[in-house]
Amino acid sequence: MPPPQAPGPINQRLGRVYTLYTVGFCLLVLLLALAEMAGLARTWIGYVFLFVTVGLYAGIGILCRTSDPVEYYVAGRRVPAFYNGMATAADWMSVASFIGVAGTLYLTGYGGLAYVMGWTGGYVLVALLLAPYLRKFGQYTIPDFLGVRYGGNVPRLAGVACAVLCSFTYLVAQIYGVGIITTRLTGIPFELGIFVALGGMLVCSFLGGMRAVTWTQVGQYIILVIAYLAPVVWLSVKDTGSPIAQLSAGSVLRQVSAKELQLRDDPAEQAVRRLWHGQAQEMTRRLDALPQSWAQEKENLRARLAERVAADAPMVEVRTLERELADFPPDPEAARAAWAKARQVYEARGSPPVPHAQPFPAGSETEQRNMRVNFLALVLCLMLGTAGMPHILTRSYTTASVGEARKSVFWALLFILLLYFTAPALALLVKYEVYTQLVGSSYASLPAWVHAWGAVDPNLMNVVDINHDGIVQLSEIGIGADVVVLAMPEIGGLPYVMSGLVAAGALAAALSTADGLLLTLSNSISHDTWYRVVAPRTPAGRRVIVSKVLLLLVAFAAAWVAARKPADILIMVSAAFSFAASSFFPALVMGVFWKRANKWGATLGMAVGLAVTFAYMAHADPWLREWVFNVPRTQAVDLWWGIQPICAGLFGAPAAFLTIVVVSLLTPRPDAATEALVDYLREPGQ
Amino acid sequence: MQDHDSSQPSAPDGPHHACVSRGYWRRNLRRIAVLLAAWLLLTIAPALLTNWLSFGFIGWPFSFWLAAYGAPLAYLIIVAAYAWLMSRADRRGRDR
Repeated sequence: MPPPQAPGPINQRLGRVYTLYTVGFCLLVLLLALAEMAGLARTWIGYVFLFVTVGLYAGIGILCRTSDPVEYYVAGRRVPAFYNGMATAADWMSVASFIGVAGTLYLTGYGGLAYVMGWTGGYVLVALLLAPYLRKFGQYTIPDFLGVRYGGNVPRLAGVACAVLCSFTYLVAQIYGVGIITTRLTGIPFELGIFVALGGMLVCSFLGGMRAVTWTQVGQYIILVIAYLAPVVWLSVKDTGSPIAQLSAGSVLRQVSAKELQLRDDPAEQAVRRLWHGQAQEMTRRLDALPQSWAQEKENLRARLAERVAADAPMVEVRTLERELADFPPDPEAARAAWAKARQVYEARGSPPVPHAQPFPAGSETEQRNMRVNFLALVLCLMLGTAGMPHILTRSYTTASVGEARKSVFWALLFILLLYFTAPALALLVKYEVYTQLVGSSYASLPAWVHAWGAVDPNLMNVVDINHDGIVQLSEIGIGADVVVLAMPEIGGLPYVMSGLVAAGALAAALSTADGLLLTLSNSISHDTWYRVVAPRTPAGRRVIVSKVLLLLVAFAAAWVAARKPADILIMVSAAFSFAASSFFPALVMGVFWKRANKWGATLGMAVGLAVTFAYMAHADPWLREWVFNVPRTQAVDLWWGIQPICAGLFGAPAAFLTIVVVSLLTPRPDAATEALVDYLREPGQ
Repeated sequence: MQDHDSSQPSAPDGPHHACVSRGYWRRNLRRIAVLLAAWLLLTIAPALLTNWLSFGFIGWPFSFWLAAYGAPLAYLIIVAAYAWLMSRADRRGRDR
């Protein structure tokens, strides 16, 4: 490795390059805005955003290509703290952060703040308990640390298993997100969108490993933060006259809360809610009468279709009925699942708006306590999970020194907060627009974006005139969490170039996280399994080639799974956090802070943590329970202390800590070399 | 200290060295304990004390502002404080 350059020149050079990059990107957006005014078609704006950004990422990848192991695995260990922080922020902020946080805040108000707190507070644990020690240790991967600290291949392979478990589902979710975004941005089919993005991602990580991914992530961070902030600032100026949405949204919150109160008691709204409740009751009736109701309903639908065709009804109506018949559940069991889900949706739409500012809005005292406990549980679980995510922890290896590793966490958190501080304001501004522009408007003049998003997926956007009065009531609007950010520019009446920009930002968020995950996965398999366990004599050059081949395999496997459009992806992603919280976090922390922790304690601790987490999920999540135990989804779940399955790590993490302590004390203490290693980790860093 | 292909980093040793680093480590643990206590308090208090925090604050209801902005900002300060304290301690540790 070349001697580390003095921090001055390299920082200056990087600063120049990325300033030019930022200015260039802003010019591109301006140019497209002008082109839009001159009449450029929307699809072309989408294509330009897609191909220019993916091309940029691939270009950085080609410039940074390498086959040197230190460069490939840890970017040469000389990334300055500022840029490493930026890369960590991009690595961290996935589609869930970019799209999901503001969407959840829109739907649940205060409850959504659990994500803001959980996903930022976790960095305190990273900075205080893990990053400096991993940097001091200074190898390549997280299983490396487990393998050396606890001695032997068993803990290393346990680490590999955990890394694959945590990262693969998360990777699938990112690739799935990329597919959705490219489809909406350009109109190309979902599967093709996945493969275009996969191409951009692979050029980067395949050619240059961690080095290329780091510098691409810095570029992706710049694009994603511009894409997130620009429309919010615009909307904030438009609605409140102030560009600092974080301050001005306070007054928007007051107006939204007043409107919520008014809408809660509005007679037309109440009538609509009663209609939804009626539909929910109809579903209950059908569910109770299964399996006869399945045949009965199918017959009814057929009869209605025949009757409408005979009566020469409008084409639209006939088509709708035909589609309904085609989508009718194929057997009574499928009908049970579909109708139970429909009942849930109808009940949700029949309930009054959630008060945005009120913490834990619930009727009864018990229910309120339950919400409070779950809020705290989710916050803690996300924090521990953040501190256990291998793709984030690997980033501490890429800095130049221990002190830089600590500073890098600070920069990472600062860059993440830029986005997270905007999310609550964004949710409020969108809500304000919906309450003032959409609610009370007429169905004849429904804005185009309602239809456009409804066509992508009715779960994302669904506005129906259920009481046939021609006026939009709030309870008639169904908005999915994923659409809030992506549709924000359209909801706020901004030009289409802003929609393209937001989509490009979401794409950057998805690709940057996917790249980090992809490297973590392929390195765990190639470096930790192939090189360390199977063929330790492999020369350095061959090791990198093996890593690259595995990277391709992992990428295509993930794309293949994502193209199957797996259901219930959300539970899979939250599972990743719980798994990280109950496996890596306890084993790593104990490895640094408790000398007595040994091989068997750590290995069994990770196994027990994962087992408890998985057992609770399989016990408490209806979808997983059906898959594991074959219990029908409609049967009520029995929760422990009312804790939702999404927070399963809350049981897994203490179980893992306890197991590490008990098993370590029952088995021989680690050897002198290991104790010397721990002493070394605890010494002042250079 | 990077020797990239060794499976284990070299660990310098010696009685004097061990003594110095024991003090360094004890002070480090104390800092971590104090900052983690602040972290835990900031994490739990906003959700537990919502009933007492409903007053207005720069245009926001305080309980909402605390969870959305106050706590994350405090996390940033904790991370900054630790980085600053430790780089000072590292400098002193090296000079000794």
